Amino acid sequence: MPAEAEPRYRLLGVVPREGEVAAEREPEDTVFTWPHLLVRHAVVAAGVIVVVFALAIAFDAPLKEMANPNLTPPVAKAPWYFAGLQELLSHFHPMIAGVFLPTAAVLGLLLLPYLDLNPATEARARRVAVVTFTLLVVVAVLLTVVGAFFRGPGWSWAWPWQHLYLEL
Amino acid sequence: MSKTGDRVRASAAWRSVFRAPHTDTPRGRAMATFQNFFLHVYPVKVPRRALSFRSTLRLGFASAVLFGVLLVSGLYLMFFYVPSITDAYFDMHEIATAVAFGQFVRNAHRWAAHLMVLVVFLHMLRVFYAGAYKSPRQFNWVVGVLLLLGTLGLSFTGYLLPWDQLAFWAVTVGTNIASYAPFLGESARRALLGAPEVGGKALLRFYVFHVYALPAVLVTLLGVHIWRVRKDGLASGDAQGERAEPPQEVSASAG
Repeated sequence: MPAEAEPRYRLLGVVPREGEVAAEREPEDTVFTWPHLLVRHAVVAAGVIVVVFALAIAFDAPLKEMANPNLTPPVAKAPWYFAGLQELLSHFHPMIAGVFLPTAAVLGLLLLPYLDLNPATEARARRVAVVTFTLLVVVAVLLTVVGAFFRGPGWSWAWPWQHLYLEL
Repeated sequence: MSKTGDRVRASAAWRSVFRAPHTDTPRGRAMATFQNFFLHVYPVKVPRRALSFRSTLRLGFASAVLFGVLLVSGLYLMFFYVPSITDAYFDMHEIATAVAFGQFVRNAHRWAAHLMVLVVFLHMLRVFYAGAYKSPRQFNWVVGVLLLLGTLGLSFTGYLLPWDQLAFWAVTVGTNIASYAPFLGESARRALLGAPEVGGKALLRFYVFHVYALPAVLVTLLGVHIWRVRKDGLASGDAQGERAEPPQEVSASAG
């Protein structure tokens, strides 16, 4: 066997490109979860619980007369988060306001990441998505505010500072 | 640390529960997370950026805390509440007047529920404006939307349970919309209420959804949601997260 043979190479494996990149990456600026993140979470948890307890001490949950199917109250409102839907129903055919638009909203939300394929995260580089979403949110919030605060008996207009027909 | 504290932590009983020795070394801090069942949903180390309050406003975490408050307060209320049209309303009066801390627990349950709807909605807005639903987090946004729907479902089914005029008519108005469902029509509303009108069947149905079916779905989805948040590198803006780390097995066999 000759001592100085020509060097021979053999393919042992193929390393995917990401593996190589990961090995070269700078170590990230990280900190220990305990105590850094856990202390912050404990503070937020305590804050949330204090807010809930303060509300629970200050305000009693409503309890009206017993349910009576034969006695329609002057104001029959859905819970506040559906007040926008109820407001929409007072303007459009139920097929549109009650079925088509809510279904479209939910489907739109579910499919958003697959419709918006722009990889940018800065607002300036994704104007269409930001403007569209903001407009829809503003409309939804306005409808909810009107339905919850500005509607009275028979869904007539009522100024909230004259009489507030809102039960939480 | 006080001397008594040290003695307690050194005792055999303490160490049988908390396996990691409490030391202020990097290893001790890592073990505190790693060796704890409840903390192991967290990574041992987090990117410094994930600590900033401004990056998330802590809205997702606050939603989870509110959900926890609701689970505990809801459990207490279940002991005193029977979902039948003859008992439900009188049980509510009992809770308010005769049950220890009943009124307080009911109040906490109600306000936490309203807050949760609000905070989950704000969490969604925050995630949208951060563009945090983009690759690789697309599916976690979908899970998040399902969690929002689950939150609304829980809130709405709970709304009927007091069986007062407010509950009855709010749910009557709400479920009337279901009768316009395409193809199904009136039968969609019937399926929801178990009867043509809101009554005893609807109360039982809403109760079962409220205390069992929807919480089970929500807890499962929340597990998936949080697990994926961690796998995708928390709110660090790092698109790769944990997945970019070379698998341990490969580096071990290479050595």
